[in-house]
This record gives sequence, structure tokens and C-alpha cells, in this order.
Amino acid sequence: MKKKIIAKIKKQAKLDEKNRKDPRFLNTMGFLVAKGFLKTNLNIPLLPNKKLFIEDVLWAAENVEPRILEVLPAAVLRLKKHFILNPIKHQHLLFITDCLRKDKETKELFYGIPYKKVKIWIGFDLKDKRIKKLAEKRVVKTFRLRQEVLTKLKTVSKKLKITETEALERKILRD
Amino acid sequence: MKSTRNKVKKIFKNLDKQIEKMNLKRKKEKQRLVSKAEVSLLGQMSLLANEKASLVLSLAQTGDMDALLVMNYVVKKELQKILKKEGFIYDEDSPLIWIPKGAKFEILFDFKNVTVKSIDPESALVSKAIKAIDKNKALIRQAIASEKFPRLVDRILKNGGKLENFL
Repeated sequence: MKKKIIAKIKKQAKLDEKNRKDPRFLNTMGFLVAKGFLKTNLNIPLLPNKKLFIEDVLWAAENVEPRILEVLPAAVLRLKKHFILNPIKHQHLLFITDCLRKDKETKELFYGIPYKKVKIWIGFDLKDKRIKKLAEKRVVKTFRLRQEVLTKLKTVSKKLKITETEALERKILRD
Repeated sequence: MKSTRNKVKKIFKNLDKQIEKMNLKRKKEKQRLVSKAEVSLLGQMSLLANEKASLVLSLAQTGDMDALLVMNYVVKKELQKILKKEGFIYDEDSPLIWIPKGAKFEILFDFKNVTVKSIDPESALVSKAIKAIDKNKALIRQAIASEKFPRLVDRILKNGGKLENFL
């Protein structure tokens, strides 16, 4: 019985080996390793500019490397231009990324992974230093300010040689 | 994987230097010195840092570093800073990792102020096969198929694991 199962495991291992050569896996890993979300000892070409279909990423995670799922929501949130997804089909992934964006804890698991484990990769320093952490990203907000406030804002920013946004941020963070 | 081993070396050599600096300062101020730290690598990091295992297994890792730490609080804080710079995060759940009976820890690096040990690859695999099946199915299959870990199957079964889980 034991021998029979081991033989089956070996057969499955051969299929795994084949899956590791599948473009869906190579593209996903090539991108996530290039960006610094994952590390590997496999000789995989780095693809930092790759655009990925979520179906392909999920295939790679389900058939080859489940660790892809741990970093996927953070990767989608931080590098959304690199992922092609369907808002209806990938509702759950979007729900998790939305929770991450709003910093709203959820008890819902992402493919069995708790929110706490997925959240870690939001504030994680990536290889590409141009990619900002979520906390560093700027959000557009509209205010209707009085003319005298605007004039003062302009004067202060000119004096300190900083932008008006920076002047506002400094003032608020100091208070 | 040589590069992971080198990275581990770089991280802990840096930590060793920082402890040395701390102790120099403490000596001057006549304070108690920071004692030698001990790190025991577990999980994927232990496999990637092991040249033999890394040659046989296809490994991927998030930035998590699983390890048992025996060190002063200030040293741990310093280690976390160094890890961050190198693209890693210390997993605070590391002490919860199950270590199978018979596991051996071999010394990877022994610096003046830090000793770095690593769990033997077979025990790391047994731990994964018992406690984190879903995440490691393909890895365990590859390890069994390679026949490079002669006691792996028996140890999985002895610890209550089922081979059918890896089909």
C-alpha cells in the first residue's frame, strides 16, 4: 500500500516538474520575484514589466506555488496596473484588497490565509524603490478654502520652497 | 542556494557588528554587556540556506523569516531593522512552529556575538508535511521523489501524517 502511494506521489511530482515550466507559473514568478514579493532558488527570468491575467496567477498558485496567494492581494493593490482582472469573477480578491486599502480588518480568509498574514506585504519594502507603500500613497481630497487661507498657504510654501500640499501636511502633522 | 546563505551571512554579520558597537558603548558607560545572541532558522529560510537541500528542491519564499531567537530585546529590534533593509520580515509566530522529535540544528555561522543555526532539512520538511500540508504539497512530493531524504516518509507516518495528503 505504502509503495503504491509513493509511486503515485512520484508520478505527481513529475507533473509538478512540468507545471514549473508552464508560462503561467514562469510569468507570475518572474514578475513577483522581480518586484521583491517573493524569492526563489529557481532560475527564472525576471519580468518586472509583465502584465498578468489573474486567472494565470491563480493557476500558478493552485498548481505550483501556493505562497503566491500570500502576496497576491498586496501585489494587486500596490501594482494594480500589472494585473488584469474581472471585477465579477474576482470579487473576493477585490474585497480583500479593498479591506487592505481601507485598513479594515476582516475575518474572511483569502484561500485559507488569514487577513493578518496578507496585510504584512502592504508595508513591505520592495526591490523597486519607486513603488510606494500604501501609507505613503497620496489620496485626492477637495476642500473649499477661504481666500486668505489660500494666500497664506502660497506665501508659506514659497518661503519654505515646498509645495502647498507639503506645507499643509507639515502644519497638520506638527499639530 | 548560495545567495540565500550569503544573504543570511550578510544579515547576521551586520547584526554581530551592531552588537559589538552596543557593547563598546556599554563598556564605556560601565553597563552590563549584551550577551551573545542565538538564532535558529526554521522553515523555507532553513531550506534555502542549506546548499544540499536547495540543489534538490524547488523553493519559493515570501519575505518571512521563521526563526527561534534567543536574544536581548534591543538586539531583536536591531535585527528587525537589518532584515527590513534586506527585504525580510521576522515572523513573530515563529515560536509556534512545530519542531519534530529528532530534529538537529547545525551551526551555519558562529560570529563573536551571534550564533546562527539551522534546522536540518529533513526535519523542516517533516514539520511542513504535518502542520502545513496545503502550502507544501508539491514540495513534499518533490522531496519524496528525490529520495534524498531517506527517513522522510517514515518520519511523516510516525508523526501521524498521511501520505495520501500529498496526492
